[in-house]
Amino acid sequence: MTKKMDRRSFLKVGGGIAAVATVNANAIPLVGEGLLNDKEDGFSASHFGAVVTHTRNSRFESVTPFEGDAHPVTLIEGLAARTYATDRIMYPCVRESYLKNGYKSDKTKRGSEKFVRVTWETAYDLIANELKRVYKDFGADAIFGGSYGWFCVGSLNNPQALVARMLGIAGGYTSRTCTYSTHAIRQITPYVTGTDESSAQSTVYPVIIENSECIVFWGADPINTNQIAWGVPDHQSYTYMKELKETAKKRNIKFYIIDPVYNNTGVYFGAEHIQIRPTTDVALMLGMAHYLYSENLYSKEFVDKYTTGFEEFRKYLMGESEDMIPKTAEWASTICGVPTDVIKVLAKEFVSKRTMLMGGWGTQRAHHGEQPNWMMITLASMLGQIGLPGGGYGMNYHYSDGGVPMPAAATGNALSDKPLNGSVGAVADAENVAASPGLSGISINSKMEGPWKQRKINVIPVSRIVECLENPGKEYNFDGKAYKYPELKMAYWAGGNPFHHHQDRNRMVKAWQKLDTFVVNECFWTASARMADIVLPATTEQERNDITKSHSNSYIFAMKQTIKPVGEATDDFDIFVNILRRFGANEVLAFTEGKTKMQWVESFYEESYTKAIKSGVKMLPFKEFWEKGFVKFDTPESAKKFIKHGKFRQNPVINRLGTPSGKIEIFSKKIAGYNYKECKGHPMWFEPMEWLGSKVAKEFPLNLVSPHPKYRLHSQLNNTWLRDLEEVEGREPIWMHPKDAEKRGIKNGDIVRIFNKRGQVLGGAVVTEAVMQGVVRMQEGAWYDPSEPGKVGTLCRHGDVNVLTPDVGTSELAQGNQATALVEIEKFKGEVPEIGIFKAPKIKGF
Amino acid sequence: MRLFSIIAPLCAATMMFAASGSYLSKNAPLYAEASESSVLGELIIASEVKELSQKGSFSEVEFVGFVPEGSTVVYEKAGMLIIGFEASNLSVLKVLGKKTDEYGSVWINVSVKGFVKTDALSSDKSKVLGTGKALFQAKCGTCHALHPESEFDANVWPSILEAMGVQAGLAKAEKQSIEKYLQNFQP
Repeated sequence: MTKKMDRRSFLKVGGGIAAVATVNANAIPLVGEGLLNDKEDGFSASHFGAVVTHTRNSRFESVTPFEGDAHPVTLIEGLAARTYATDRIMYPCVRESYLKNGYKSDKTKRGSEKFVRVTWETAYDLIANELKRVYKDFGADAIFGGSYGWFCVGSLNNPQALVARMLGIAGGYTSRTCTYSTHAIRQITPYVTGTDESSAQSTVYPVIIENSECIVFWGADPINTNQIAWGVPDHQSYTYMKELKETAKKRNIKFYIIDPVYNNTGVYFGAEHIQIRPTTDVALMLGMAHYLYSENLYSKEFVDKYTTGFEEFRKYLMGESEDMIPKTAEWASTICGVPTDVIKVLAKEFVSKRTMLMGGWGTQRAHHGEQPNWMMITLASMLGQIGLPGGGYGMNYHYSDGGVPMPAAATGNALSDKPLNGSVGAVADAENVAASPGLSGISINSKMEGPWKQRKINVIPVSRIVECLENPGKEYNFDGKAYKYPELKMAYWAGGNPFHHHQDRNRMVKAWQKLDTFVVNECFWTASARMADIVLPATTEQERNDITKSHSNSYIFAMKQTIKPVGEATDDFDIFVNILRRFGANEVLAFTEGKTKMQWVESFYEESYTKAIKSGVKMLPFKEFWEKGFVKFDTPESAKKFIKHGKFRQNPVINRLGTPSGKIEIFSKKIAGYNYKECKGHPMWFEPMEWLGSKVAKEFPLNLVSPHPKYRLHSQLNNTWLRDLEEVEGREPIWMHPKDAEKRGIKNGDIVRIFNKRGQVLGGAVVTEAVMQGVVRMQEGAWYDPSEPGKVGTLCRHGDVNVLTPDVGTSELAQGNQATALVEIEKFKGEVPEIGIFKAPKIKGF
Repeated sequence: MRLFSIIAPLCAATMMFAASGSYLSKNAPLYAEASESSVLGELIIASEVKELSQKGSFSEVEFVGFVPEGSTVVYEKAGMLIIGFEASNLSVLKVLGKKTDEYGSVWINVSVKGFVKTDALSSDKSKVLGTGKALFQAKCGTCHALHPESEFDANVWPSILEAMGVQAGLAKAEKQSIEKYLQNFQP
């Protein structure tokens, strides 16, 4: 008698806790209830776009783009791919000697030692006990909960907010301020224009399309970087960029790209390439400013009426102060490499045409990164077009659909409010209530009463983490004040990959040894997970229910669980609840506020729904929204007219800026009063620590730039087949100019070793004229693959560019991070080593 | 003797109204009379006013502040974008004087008198700011890490909230409540 093998029994045989390390050990039924398809139209979202998900036989196989995505991107292919990546973390693991000796373990073994599989209970006990020990012996400041990174989308399962929420309840932590994206620009521009120019609204595309005559992409690549967004991108910026290109044909708009690399944006718009040496943009701008001033071409009226401090700056410009050198176009040319006559032509062009300067964030990710944006605003002031339609500057067109008109903020009553104080958000009108109520998410602070309410959370500037580890108790300057670094004993990272985004990898590996305990929640065996003491497997976005919105506020999206979590992957939310169980019932209640996960999701929607209805904005009730997958909000016509600084230009007295003078501060008394050595009262050229004109260039004559990748979100998706679209012989590509390659006997496709005093990495050579001579370009985010993990100075076999970059702050003001370096390159000699990542490390089972 | 017995209670009554600080516990319209009729403008949460008298459910109050020439937005202090009162039009503001700051900006010292619902007033400024704190924590730390209150100064926070307010779908009252909390923050 044969046992009838029905579907249910088939599943039972393979099911249960996987005893082995692979993702696919469960026997999958060949056919489901339906013919091959289990769940056709699921719905979810990501930093790459919203998607319809397709599952067959409980396998998340593929996605198709959301119908409302204006320009779907290839990155969404990575969602299914990474769910089943061969380096998925399957169960909790502890580093072998940490399991034996706890915080007294040999930290130099991090990264090289094998892991031991443990039960969740063991893992939670270890973490909770260690938290308690550190709180007792060292205090709350000793735990770093800053957990920087790009994680996932979703209002509830936001790993960064959740780890902070958990730690805040458990006993406290040290957090961080600033970001690796905007460390310098966010600190300097409030002094100049009274706002954070990285997030201030830019003139919208419809106005540019109608009015701009000259558009300058200055250290920016909007065609590439708008693939992703901090919220969910709906890619409307691509629709506008297409329209801009079409208009340019009819109306003759001139495009320039000022960049060491002729990037995607330059190619798309057929822009004229102004090749500039990395980190010398301030010199170019000074040269242009000098020419405009000397030829009396600059807008004296604008400078007099709308700025303050031009006289102090003029002295510096004309060589009457500081270094006593006139910042002529000739002077600028020797520094930045742009020919003198070109500098003069550009200045004439920008001032005579309606010009929009689109500044990226690459220029400020450099030594003295405070200067480029300050100087760009100064130059724009001299051009005199700030506040005119299609003129002036904008510093976020490259980020998360900057420049795209957005729905108004729903106000809770049907008529929107008059604009406040000069700046203006879109105003909805009674006939066309086109607004969005926004969407809340889980807070780092619990609503429940308890000792956590009184806790003060101290911060460090995010990119000073290694300096902090190296120098506990040391005083440092930041934004006008002096602070002391805390002594960190433990770090808990969730939703971030510091062994990707932080600079000077070898120095970091060494400094990390100062931590007694490093805990990581991760989906994959990233470089950070490999360096951890305790690793907990987390679910991906598609393995849980959540809710999110598009960055443009045009949509709220349902994120519906597509499949059950792979292996023992657990929601960060549940992980933190379980850790808090080891503290007490009150702590658990403070974290959950008595709500289930789905109740949380529904509560975020209900909050928006209530506000929308009160404002006269239509929204589906929750059940229907969840069924459909999304709700849409309209954008009012008034939003398509927004002009940055328009109100300020109309009346700078009434609509004064948030600066002490109410005007654009070319000279800042406040900053001058700090008496900093490397950031003074007005924008200046400071020689970078490493640049093509420095002594360091004798030994390391190639200037490395590290832009955002095309087929990743920083380091995300590197562990999927998408890397095959670009890798060269399994390594991150590095672009070299033909002359530089020829000089070194390097041919297209060769594996090369890139090195300087800080470290060495392998890369795959791409020989191209898209990069200027003397410059090499390697995208950030390729996963660190140390030949000898944990050993300082070891070769990275894969191409982690941050092995080469310096970890020195921009200046005393912003203490920001850098993204360039001087390097040398040679063809790799000897047998090319295999890549050691994209698979699990050695793990001892039960 | 008789005069004294009349004056003394009057003085006591005036002292009662002028003694404790009165703060707006929420944005509230300022009416010309003790009824919800003609509106002189809107008093903004956490602004300080002087209570003059009581009429039914309304309090007669006076707000004193500084305004740039031609503007209807009156600030609590000269040189700081801390909004105290948004006038419906210029004529409701009474000019008390002028002063010029070190940057040559002219600040007109103005006052306005009117009636506000008594339930819109509170003597506890820190409690009023507490509602802004709760909103700040609820609304401003979900998409990105909650910024320290001291990251930007009182002059800069308004422009940040203008940009972020759209992202977070903040209503005007919510935005201004958060703004006042941040602008009044002392480390």
